[in-house]
Amino acid sequence: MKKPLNELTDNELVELSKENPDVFEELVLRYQNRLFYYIKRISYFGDEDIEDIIQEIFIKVYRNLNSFDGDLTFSTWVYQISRNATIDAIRKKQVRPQSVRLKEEDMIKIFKSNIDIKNEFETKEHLEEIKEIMANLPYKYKEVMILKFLEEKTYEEIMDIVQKSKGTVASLIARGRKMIIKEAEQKDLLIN
Amino acid sequence: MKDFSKKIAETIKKDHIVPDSKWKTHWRNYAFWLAFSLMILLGAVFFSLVILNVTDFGSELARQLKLRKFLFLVFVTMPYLWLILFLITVFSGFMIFRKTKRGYRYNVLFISGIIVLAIAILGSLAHFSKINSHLEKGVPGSDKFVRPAEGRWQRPEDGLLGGEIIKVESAELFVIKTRKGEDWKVFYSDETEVKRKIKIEEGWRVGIVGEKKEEYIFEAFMIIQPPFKNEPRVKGENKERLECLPDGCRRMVQ
Repeated sequence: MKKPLNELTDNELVELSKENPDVFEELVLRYQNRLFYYIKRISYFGDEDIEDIIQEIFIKVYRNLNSFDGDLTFSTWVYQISRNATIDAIRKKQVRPQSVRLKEEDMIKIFKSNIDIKNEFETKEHLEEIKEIMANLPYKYKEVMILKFLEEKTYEEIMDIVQKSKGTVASLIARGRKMIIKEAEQKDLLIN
Repeated sequence: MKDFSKKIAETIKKDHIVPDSKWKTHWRNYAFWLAFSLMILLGAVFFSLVILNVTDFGSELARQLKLRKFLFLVFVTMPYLWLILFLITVFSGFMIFRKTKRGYRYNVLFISGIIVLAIAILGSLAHFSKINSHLEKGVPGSDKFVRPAEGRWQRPEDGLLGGEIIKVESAELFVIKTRKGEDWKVFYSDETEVKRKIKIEEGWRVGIVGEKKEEYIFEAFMIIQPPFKNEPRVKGENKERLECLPDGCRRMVQ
């Protein structure tokens, strides 16, 4: 008896999708929301632009199904394609990637993941300072921190998504963390 | 956020989009691996030529010269052309490897180490199997190109002179013609160390370690077989080759 599509693994769906585009719908369903928020976090695009990018990404994914060899998980592979497509779109629109605009809760989540702040009340009190610290963080650090602390990816997954060595990823995260801590110290947000 | 799943499936069906073939999706990666392999092979050839040129010095020469002078000569006559080409292939190999499908996973040190190791192993194999020596024989007029270190023997100021004996004047004097076409009078004596394979006769090619006395006059301390000893040379219509056997060397007309 055939298993329903929602019980199949990503890899099984990939194989079936090559023959039947309707099966591909299930993969789109599984990933469209995650990718939407991921692209929103790493770009400056509005919702409509992101929706266009996502459609292009899934068509590209479909065209390249034969290059998916199981060396990466489907999730990592699709994130890698999405990241590259987003960067291409940023270049085309000549929007500087440094102008990434994170939501308040995302900023606080990254901030809290890196340093020990006094308490919830003070987090709200110092929101503007936290926003400033996060806004000043260069894009290359912000990008890996988004993947680590918001998308909750492992170092290996981040390495494959951003296509940099594991050592480089670790060093970007460590340097980004140092920058946040230094800024927080200057703004007296740390517990001593 | 909108649900695109149906729309995407419809687009795929309507535009008859099909997954690209494996070949089409992988050709770039195959091309990079091919280019990378070529770089390793080229690097190995250049590396073997570096070895060939450095080992041209020979242990006899190294023993004869003082360490400082020997190091100076190594430095000034280093086969820089091959060294630079070798470094270019290592760098190109590195850049190409980084472009392969999973090349980004490895750090600079690891990739460079692997490339240098692969080139060193293949280059050494090429040297020991004498592929590098065959290169100069296989390509006409390539002797100067393949062995730039031969220029070491054209440094009378530094005590090194090489060429072919064109006239034996006496038991103490002979004349050689260098690669530059200069005729040098070479004085020698019983104290001059003449390596056993060498005969002071016309047509012999010799490397002389000694001292420049005046312009085109040289005193020999040691006479050895230079690295260009077995080169074929053209004399009139005949090609002559100096062949060295355990009992001595002879000129052979081909």
